[in-house]
Amino acid sequence: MKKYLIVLVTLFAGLGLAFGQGLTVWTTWRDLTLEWFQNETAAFTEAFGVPVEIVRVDFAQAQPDWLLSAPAGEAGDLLVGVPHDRIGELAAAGVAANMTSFATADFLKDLSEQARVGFTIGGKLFALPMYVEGPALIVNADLVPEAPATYEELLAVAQELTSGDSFGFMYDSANFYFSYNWLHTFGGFVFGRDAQGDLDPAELGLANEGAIRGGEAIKALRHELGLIPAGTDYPTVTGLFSEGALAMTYNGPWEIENFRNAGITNLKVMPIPPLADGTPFSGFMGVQGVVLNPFSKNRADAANFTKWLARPAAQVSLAQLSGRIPASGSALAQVNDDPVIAGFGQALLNAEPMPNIPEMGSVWGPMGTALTVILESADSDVAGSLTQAASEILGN
Amino acid sequence: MNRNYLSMAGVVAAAATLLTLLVATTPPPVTEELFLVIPRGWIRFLGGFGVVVAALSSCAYLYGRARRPARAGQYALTAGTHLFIWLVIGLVFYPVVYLLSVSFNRNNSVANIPPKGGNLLVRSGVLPDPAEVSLVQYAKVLSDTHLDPYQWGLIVLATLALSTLLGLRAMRKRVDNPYRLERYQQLSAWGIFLCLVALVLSIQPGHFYALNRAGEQIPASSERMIVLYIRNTLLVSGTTGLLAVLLSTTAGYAFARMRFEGRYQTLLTFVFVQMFPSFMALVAIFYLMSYLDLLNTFVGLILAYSGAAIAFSSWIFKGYLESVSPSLEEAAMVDGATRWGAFWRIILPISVPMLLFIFLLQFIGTYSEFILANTILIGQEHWTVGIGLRQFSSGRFDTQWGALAASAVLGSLPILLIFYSFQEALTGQYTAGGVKG
Amino acid sequence: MKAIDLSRDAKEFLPRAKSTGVSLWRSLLLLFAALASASLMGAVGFLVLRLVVPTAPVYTSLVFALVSLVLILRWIARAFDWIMPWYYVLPAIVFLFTFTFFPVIMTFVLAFTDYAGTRNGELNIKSETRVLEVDGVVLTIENVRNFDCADLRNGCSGVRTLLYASGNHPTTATHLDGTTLTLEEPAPAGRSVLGVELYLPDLGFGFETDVVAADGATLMLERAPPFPPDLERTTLRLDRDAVTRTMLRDEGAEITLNSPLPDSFEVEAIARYNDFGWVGTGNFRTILRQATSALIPIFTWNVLFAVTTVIVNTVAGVFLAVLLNNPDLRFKALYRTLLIVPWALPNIITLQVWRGFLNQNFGAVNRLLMLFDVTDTPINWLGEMWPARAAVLLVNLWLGLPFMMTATLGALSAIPRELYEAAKIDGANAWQSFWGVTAPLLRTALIPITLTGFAFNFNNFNVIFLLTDGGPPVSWGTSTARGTDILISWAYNEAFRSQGGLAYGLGSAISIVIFVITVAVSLVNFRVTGALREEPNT
Repeated sequence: MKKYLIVLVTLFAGLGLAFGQGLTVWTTWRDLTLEWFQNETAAFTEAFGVPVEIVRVDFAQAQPDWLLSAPAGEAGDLLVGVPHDRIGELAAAGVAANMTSFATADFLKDLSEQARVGFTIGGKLFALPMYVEGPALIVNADLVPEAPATYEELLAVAQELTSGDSFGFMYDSANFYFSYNWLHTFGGFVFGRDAQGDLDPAELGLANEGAIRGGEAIKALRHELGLIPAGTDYPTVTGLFSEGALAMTYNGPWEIENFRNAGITNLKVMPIPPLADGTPFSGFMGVQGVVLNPFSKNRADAANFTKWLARPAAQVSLAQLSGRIPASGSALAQVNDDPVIAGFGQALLNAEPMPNIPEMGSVWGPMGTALTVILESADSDVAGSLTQAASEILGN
Repeated sequence: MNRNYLSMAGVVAAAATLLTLLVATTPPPVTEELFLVIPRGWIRFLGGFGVVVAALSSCAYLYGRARRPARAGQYALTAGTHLFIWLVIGLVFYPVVYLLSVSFNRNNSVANIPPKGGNLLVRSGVLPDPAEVSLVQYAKVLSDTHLDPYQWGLIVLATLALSTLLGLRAMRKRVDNPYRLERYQQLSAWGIFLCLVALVLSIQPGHFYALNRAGEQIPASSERMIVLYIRNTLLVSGTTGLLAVLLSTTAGYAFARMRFEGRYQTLLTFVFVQMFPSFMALVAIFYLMSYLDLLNTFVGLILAYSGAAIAFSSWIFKGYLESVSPSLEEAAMVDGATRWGAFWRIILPISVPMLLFIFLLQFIGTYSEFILANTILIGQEHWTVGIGLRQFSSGRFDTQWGALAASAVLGSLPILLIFYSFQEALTGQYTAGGVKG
Repeated sequence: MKAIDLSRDAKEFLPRAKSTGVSLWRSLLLLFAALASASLMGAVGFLVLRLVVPTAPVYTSLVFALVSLVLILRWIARAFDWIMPWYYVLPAIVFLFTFTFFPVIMTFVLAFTDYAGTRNGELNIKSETRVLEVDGVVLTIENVRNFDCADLRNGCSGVRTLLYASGNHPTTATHLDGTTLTLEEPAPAGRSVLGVELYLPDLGFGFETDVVAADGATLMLERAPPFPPDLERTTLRLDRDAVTRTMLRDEGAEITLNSPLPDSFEVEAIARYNDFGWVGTGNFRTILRQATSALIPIFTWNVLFAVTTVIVNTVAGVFLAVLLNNPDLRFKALYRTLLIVPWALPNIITLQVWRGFLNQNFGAVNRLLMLFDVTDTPINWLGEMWPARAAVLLVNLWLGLPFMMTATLGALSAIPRELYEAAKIDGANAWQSFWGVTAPLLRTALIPITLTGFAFNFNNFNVIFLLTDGGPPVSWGTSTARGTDILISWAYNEAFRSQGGLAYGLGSAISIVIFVITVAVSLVNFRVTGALREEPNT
């Protein structure tokens, strides 16, 4: 018995010694962004002498896992690849450290305004932005040689191209993430801002006159104009575009590689052309960044690594390797010769970061329901559906 | 020549004529938005099916009248049954066939406009385009798997042992003394088992890497590690099954054979505790595992599964033992064996099929679990098949069907092999009524 | 060797002698004492190990406990031999208790709290705001909205807060030599320096490192900066001197604490904790409040789903099994082997594949239905409530048919052939012998199976979650209770997916409701089958 105990003790002692000082980093990134991340990690370890262990986690599961794990001391020192709309909940749960002091004046001046706003709550910065992303008009230039200049023109071109099994313009219209562009452009908004510039969850603009007009415009795409057939969902749109059966779509940079791999190489990316009165389209955009675990046992090194990852030079190499749109202005200027990056960069100029307060979590469900109901039939009640969604959001 | 055979020829000719007529008069399919439609196609389909059923049944009837006139009706009925069962098999297998063809298809999406030419089924999108057949999906999900030579050796060995086993099984029917073959069968079964265990234990995350543009090794993408996920799942499910068997046999034995104060109450607790939806206790399990430093380890997940597994298995084993006569134990105990000795030497050996059943039940049950696994196992190196497959469809917007299908086929293979290898042990317990409640 | 009388009833062999009439409580007490002392030994062993190896993981205590348990049990067995039967059950009990019973009890407890992802007892970093004025126990804060306690159960009253001074102190350093940093002037008196931030112009960021030792204006850094720093821009990270207080009430920007702050304390900012606590039956009341939008429609569909699925599967399974049971049928074994393939495939895989088949525009199901003109327009299987419900039932038939078929075949094979022969002699035709012989005997065999099937499908999470994910959203429902959600998927959504909340407490409360229903169903099951009907204590 004693012998076994000794063996056990030595075994566990050996395990214990294997744990070294260093950082553990969770990341949701994969493929090219992961490759870039590994390069940066190696460079950081070389420069700072701090070993970094990368734990790759699932994008969808990262947030609930982080919420549970961080206070229990089981999470990484950093969470890399956090979309900004999750930041409110992480900050409120006390699992995202306040990084306001990290952002120097130079850094803030160089940073995209939306990226800053995206990660700011109550005047405090809770993550360092890495890149921005959001949908833009993606045009198959083989089918539409001349890009439309106004929204009306876009609709006319699209109608012309829609017949049988070829389509002019489609997007995943039942998805609030995409359809918000219409609601917002026609005058709706999610949350208003108070005097201090903070989002006010009590002021909801998703059932106001503008939002209803926007809702009507989305409905018109399906029923009046007949552009978007019933049952259109995300795979339908990307599938058709990849086949060359769809001329224009509204989607994000993450699909560009798939489109190119499918043989659609002659792509143009631009903002959706403005309304007749000159109002530019402005939909949702997202920011991805790095969150620092406030329960980190190695906070100084974790902070250094965060800053290392967010520096403009790193964003340039990220853009060059993986085509992400840098959150830093100077970095974006350096990669502007790529037409796709430039196109998305331009489209995102007018975009609005998704609200980052936890109350946003209760917006997606009801709005998804409202859009499904609105699109269902030609005589659906747009105002009624939006009002019902709004009351559910406020009630929750 | 029997008159019946002549009539049969007549029936066949009539049926063929009818079917040809049916097909010939079918209007060409029309395109409706994304779909291909044969107007009133269902009437034609039912009509055609009816003709086939009628023709086959009458042929069987006539054949029966020629052979055994008294049972001719039975013949007709049986022929109809066969046809019906084949229809059911077709329906049951359609998803499986479709899954296979998607996995062997070049496109990574099921959302494709079917080709304009070719077979009607292909043109309508009922079956994927055979022109697109390729191995790219498998190449994709397997390309970053770099096994060591000895592991390939193990795989070859296991395959050899498997073919030996199958060969021996096929030979059994033709050999006079099948018991002589049994030893070799057992030997090859053990061979397969040991090879698999060695493989499961030896495959490590380090075997999964890709080369970047600079030629350096970088860890494989999460979509290309299905082999590791399978290995992880086999490890977790296998150990859970073993643990369930190990811990539930004694308990089941005590419940079935001993009478002691508190037995009934304990039994009730066992039965009712496992009715709580265990994954809803996720938060508590998370903190328990976190406290024990077992988070993100297989041991933690196995322990989390074990509770429910043990309760259920004990209950089944108790039910089984109650159907077994205790005379053998009694005899052994009269001969001076202790109760433990009786359990160890008598009960365990005769219960092997039941223990196998319990093992397989837990094995298959945990194979499809993903909620607990998703919370306890965080890092990708620890993912199980369930989590690994979820990632293809839990992306923000779309599902990568090709890669999902290829991974699904690979992920199903182990369980399919195990299920069919032990089909009798598994379904036999249900058919024999050994499992109650 | 004594002859064994095989005709005796099995029960007579049971070793009644071992049932010494020792009361349940004495046995349990003894076992509990053994477990408790083993746990104690485990804890002690672990703590000793920690002294030697500071990084030893906690589960080593389990190893120690296990070893001591074996030793203790051996000793007990010698002293009290009537405990032996319990030893057979003990391993199972220990596992069940630790890994099932304990978490379940914890979940029961959680159901009476408002514990949630954002009410987790941690400091709410988002709520941090500046303190503008301190007047005794009354503080005036700057940002009321960020501080607000609206989502806590009693507002701000009784909530812990953390008050602290600023941690960052900008200063200038004069000299850096390796890891030795010399400041222009010493750090503020009375505050300890935890770390230093040195601005690195090469990176555009400050480099942070901990301070190992401080002596006046000289600081020993833990790590030297990798690039030359701009010493003009040095920031000291001082101890924030935090104190914890509990709030009594809040009125607008004024907060009343339970006790005044220390005299010399210079408070700069305040943040509150995400306190959670007992809400009594609050979660259950929330469930009842959602009676029309969630509880009742979901429960109705849940029962409908379980009942329909059992009926459909049983009818189909019996039909197939009766066909296959035909003694004249050839290839029976082949058919059986082929037909159980959905059972042999892991449902986590097949369900996701089915999801693809049911896609409205490209799914194989609609392609097939449209080709044969069965429907005029493609059915929106996953996007409309009733088609989605039909899809769930259809797929569940596909999944469950093999089991029902196999079970029915088992029951059929148990029916003696002689009964059919007898029926035939009496002049019954096939139809009459089915209803006269097969059906009544099948019914007794199938009732327990269907009841178990009902209990299983009542909580069939995988089918709902992986096929429709509870969707589609419906106008009467909420974002967590949708068209095909059943109780358990609703509970899961509330607890782990309602993005604003992760309401573990509410989810636990729903689980309890489910548990009660499942137990009730099972009690009916046991009553019918008699599985538990035996002499309770013999």
